[in-house]
Parts: sequence; C-alpha cells; structure tokens
Amino acid sequence: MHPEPVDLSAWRTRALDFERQLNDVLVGMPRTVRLMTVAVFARGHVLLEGDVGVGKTTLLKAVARGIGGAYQRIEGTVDLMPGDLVYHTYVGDDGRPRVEPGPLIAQGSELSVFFFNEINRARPQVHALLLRLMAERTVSAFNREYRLPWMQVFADRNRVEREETFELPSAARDRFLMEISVETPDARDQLRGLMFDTRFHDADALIEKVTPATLDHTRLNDVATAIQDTVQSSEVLDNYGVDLWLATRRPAQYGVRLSDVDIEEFIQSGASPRGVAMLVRAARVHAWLEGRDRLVPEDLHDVFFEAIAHRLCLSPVYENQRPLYARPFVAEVLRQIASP
Amino acid sequence: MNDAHRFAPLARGLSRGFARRLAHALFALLAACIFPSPGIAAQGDGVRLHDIAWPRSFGYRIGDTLPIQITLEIDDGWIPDRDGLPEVGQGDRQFELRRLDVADASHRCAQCRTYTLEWQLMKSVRAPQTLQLAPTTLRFRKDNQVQAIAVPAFAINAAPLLNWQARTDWINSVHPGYRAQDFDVSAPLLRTAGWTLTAVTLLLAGLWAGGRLGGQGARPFARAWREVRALRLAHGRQGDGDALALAFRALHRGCNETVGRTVFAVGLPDFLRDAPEFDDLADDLAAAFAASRSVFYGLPPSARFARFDDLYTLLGALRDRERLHARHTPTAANAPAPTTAAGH
Repeated sequence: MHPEPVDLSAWRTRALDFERQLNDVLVGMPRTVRLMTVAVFARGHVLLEGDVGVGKTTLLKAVARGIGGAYQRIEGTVDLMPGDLVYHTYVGDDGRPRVEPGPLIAQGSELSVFFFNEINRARPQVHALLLRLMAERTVSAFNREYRLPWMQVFADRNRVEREETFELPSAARDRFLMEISVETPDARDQLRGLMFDTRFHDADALIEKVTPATLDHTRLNDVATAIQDTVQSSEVLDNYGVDLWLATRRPAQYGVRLSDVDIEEFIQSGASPRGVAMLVRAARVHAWLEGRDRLVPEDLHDVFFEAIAHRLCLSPVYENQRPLYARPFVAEVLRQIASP
Repeated sequence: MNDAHRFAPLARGLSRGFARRLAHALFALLAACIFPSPGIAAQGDGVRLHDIAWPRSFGYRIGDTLPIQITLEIDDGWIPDRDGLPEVGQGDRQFELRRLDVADASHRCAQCRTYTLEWQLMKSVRAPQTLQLAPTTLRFRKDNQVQAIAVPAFAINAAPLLNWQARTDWINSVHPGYRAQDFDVSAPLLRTAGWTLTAVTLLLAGLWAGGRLGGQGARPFARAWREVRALRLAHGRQGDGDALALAFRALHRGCNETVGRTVFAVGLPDFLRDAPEFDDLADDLAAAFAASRSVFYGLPPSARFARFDDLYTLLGALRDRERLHARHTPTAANAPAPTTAAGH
C-alpha cells in the first residue's frame, strides 16, 4: 500500500489522458481503448481477440508505455514449456552453461504488462502456470518466490488455425477479467488513414508519442481499491445484476430466446460467481471513468459482453459456433432483463 | 229319392260316432280298473275357492308388485301337491313371482287359509299398455285325490317411467301414467341471469380497469397512467418515496412494452426512433429517466419529476399520443386494400 492517499479525481484526469493518448495511437478503436482502460484500473487480466495485424501488439505496447513498468512478450508454441517462461539456458562466451531469468521474472516486480501471444498454442502445463500467475501474481523459481504485484496478463487466442492448439480450460478463461475484441475500424476515412497516413506505418514511432508512465503502475492497485470502495451500488441495481447473472444460467426462465436455438439446451453453465464479481468490478471502473460515484445499468451493459461472454460454457453443438451465438445471446439477455 | 235313402248317410255317421264313444268309455273303464289313478275329490270334501282379492288394475311401472290374495277353504287332510304351487322366481318375460305366503284366515271361515302370490312387473313399456298376468293353478292333494284351483288371468295397465319432478325427492317423484308438468323455472332463471349479468359486468369492468379491454392491452402507457392515477389517489399528489418509485416503474414498463425491449436512459433515442409518436416528449422523457435514476440508483436528485403530478401529466400525454397513434395506425382489419398499377 502506498503511503499517499489516492486522489481519485486527479487519477480520473490521468486515466482520461491515458485513454486519449491510446486513441491517438489506435485509430477508430475508442471502445477497445475504453475497455483496456477499464481493465487497467480494475487490475484484471485480458484476453484479446482479433485477426492478425489489427494492432493488438501496438495497443499493448502503448498501454505498457502509458502505465509504466516493464513489458514482456512471449509467443505460445506447442513445444513451449512452463520453464521457458521462468528461465532460459545458454552457453556463455567462456563456454560454460548459463541460466538466466526468463521473461516472467527478468524485470522482477517491475513487470506490468505480460503479453502471451497465441496462448492456445501452448500446452496445458503452461496454462497451469499461467493460472497461478494470474490468480496469485507470484511465480516460484530459483528456490524463491517472485512477486509480480503490478503485472497484468494480456493473452491472444488464435481462432483461425486449429491445428496444434490447446483450448484454454474454463478455469483459465474464468481468470480473465475480459475478453476484448480488437477490430479493424469500419469508417472509410479511418481505413484510408491507416493505409496512406505514414505515421501509422511505423508503430514504434507511434507508440513513442505516448507519454511514458502517464499512470504510475505502482499506484494502480491502490487506485483500483479506492475506485471499488468509492463507487457505490444500490439495491435496485444489485437485483438487476443478479437477474442478469441468473439469466445467463437459466435463460429460458428469464424469457431469453434466440431464433433457431433450443435455449433449454444452449447453456451448459453460465457465468461463475467470480465472473459476476469481476463484471461489477469493471462496471465500477466504468462508472468512475464516466465521472459518477454510483453505478447505473449502463455501466454493467458497457462491459457485460466482454466480462461475461467468454465465461459461458455453451453446449457442444453450439460451442463450435460461439462467435455466431455468443453476442446475440448476451444482447438478448440485456434486452429481456428489465430494470427501472 | 225316398226318405230312407236320404237319411242313410246321417244314420251311418251317427252310428259310427256312437260306437267310437262307447269304445272309448269301455276302454277307460278297463284302464281305471287295471291302473288305479288319483281320484277326483268328491263333492263337499276338498279345497274350495273362497275369494280372490285382486290388486288395482292400473298404474303399474316396472318393478311394481301385484299381491294377489287367494283365500281357500281347505278341508282337513288336504295339502298342496308337490309342484302344486308356483315357485318363487317362476314367471314369464313380464311377471315374476317374488313371494308366496300362506297365512291362516280363520277370521274368514273356519278352515280358510290365504295364499298370497306377489308378482313383480319385469317389463318396461314405452307407452301405456295392458299386460296380461297368466292364469295360475293351485293344486292340492289328499291321498290319491287331487284338486286344482284355477286362478284366472288378470290384466293390468302398465305405464312407462316418467322424468322425476322434484329435485329433493326425485325417487318418489317418478310417477307412472302421469304427464310431467314443466317446472316453473322462471324465477331461478331470472336470478341466474341477474347474477351472470352482474358477473360479466364486473369482469368487463375489471378488464377495462386493468387495461385489457378495448385495445388497451396494446396501449401500455394507458395502463401506466391508470396505475399512477391509482397511486396518486392513494398517496396524494406528492406521494412518498416508495409510491414515486412505483410510478417510475410504471413509466419504464410502459416504455419497455411499447417497443418490446428494455429501454434505458441511453436507449431513449432508439426508443423514439421506434416510436416516433412520442418525439415531442423527448425532453420530458429524458428528464423523467434522469429523475428515475436518482430515485433508483442514488444519483443526485433531479429538479423535475420529483412529484407525482409531473409524472402523471407526462404519462397522460404519452397515453394521448399512444391512443392517437393507435387510431391512425392501420390494422389488418381497416388497412386500405393494396392498389395495383393499371398498365395501359
């Protein structure tokens, strides 16, 4: 805990400045940037989804630069083992074998953004290590325990190729605060800018425009705690949140219908208690960014899909078509569940 | 032709008939000597019919019984012959003997006994009909003497069963041979009609008040307005916090039902796009939603819509526009027929 008290108003200004800088880097992605900002201040790990070349790495590098602290990246491969994250070995100039810290512990506790690219290419052993890392923010190596208090894991899933991939277990998916989709903008002038504006061609130069350590990463945990303590809910909204949760578990009972879907068979298991707790955590950050100290339904709505959809276990017959059904299902839940 | 010739056949016929009768008599006399048979009771010794008491001869229906009391004067030593009396259960398709009683009737005469044969009518008739109870023979014996008492046939009038006439005592109200009179049911009918009319009126009134009549089901704001009016009557124009919350819920329900989805504050533009008849109330709706958020979610209180009256007025305006829109929206019944282009 940092000794200085948290000035949430000043921090909100910094958060909005951080958001603005990210929007300068990533054209046409205000919602993605807002969700990333929410994740940063909710201190949650994030699954990223998107095609290649849409700007995921640029986004993460910009976030890491804005947050401050160290940034590390590792590529998921089928032969990646948990040890590869913790150390690596090589033969030194003197011909003697050397063991050096791996990407997870190389910067010690300064690590603030850890990007795991194509996480579903890694084996379940690696997923297991990641589970502990995300839950406890600690890792054991060289006969000691390394604490990574400010680390956030950002992981990307390859959804195109299926060969030699290992789908994340539901327990691992549940550790992620959100799954954020990084999409190419639709607006024609933005697409033209991405094509012909040369400043977007050099990603590194673009990232350097982000003021380093706009947010002090060592204070983020305190700020997150303060936000959660400050933003209040109400009984009506609590009930609304519970209804939303139950509707993901028993959609038929709540009148949720999808065309061409047997809704009774659609859901194998709905959102977990941890999931809805994370939903409210993210919603509180959203309310704070909007300048409110009270939660309103729209705060839940704005993060609902990203915080809940990846936690839903669909029946096998629908699981293979998750992209087709998940968003309409969540939208229908929000349509059907009423709140004043 | 002389007389002798004329009567010769007759004389021959007579002589033949006389000879045959004589032969029969002789044969019978011989047989009686060889095979002794039960004798016929001598006059003055035996069983004599004293009288028969018949039951009434009309008004029978299926299941009714006819007791026939036969009083006999029976001299000493005379007893009913074996198989000389009908057995209980015996009968034809119409009548069956239910009971055979023998009682002393010394009050009638010194050696009188009464045989009661109780027959039961087993036939149901479709229309009034005369049925014949077959004659019966009672046979008595004394040593080798036999004497039979013939009970003549008896005719009765049977009638079909009729509908029961009374609800309370319906068994006994079934009378044969009797034309049932219709109940005078006008009073209970009137009473029932009165209650039915009252119930239907109350039902319709309830449906109307609940907004389920006259197309009000399709007018959610009319229902919301009624709810708020009821709250206003119950809680006064200011209303307490709970009542105000109920009123806001009515407003939200009206909005949700109008477009078939949950309408939140940020969704008001979409709501107005789907229901443009409320366009001129956009500002009021936005203010009401803002006030609702302060009531439900603890946001800073809003200056407007802090009282029932404001919400009541807004809902009244929404109701009016809704009704106007419903009148001018063509339904399947009153939609104009599609025009076809005439190509010339």
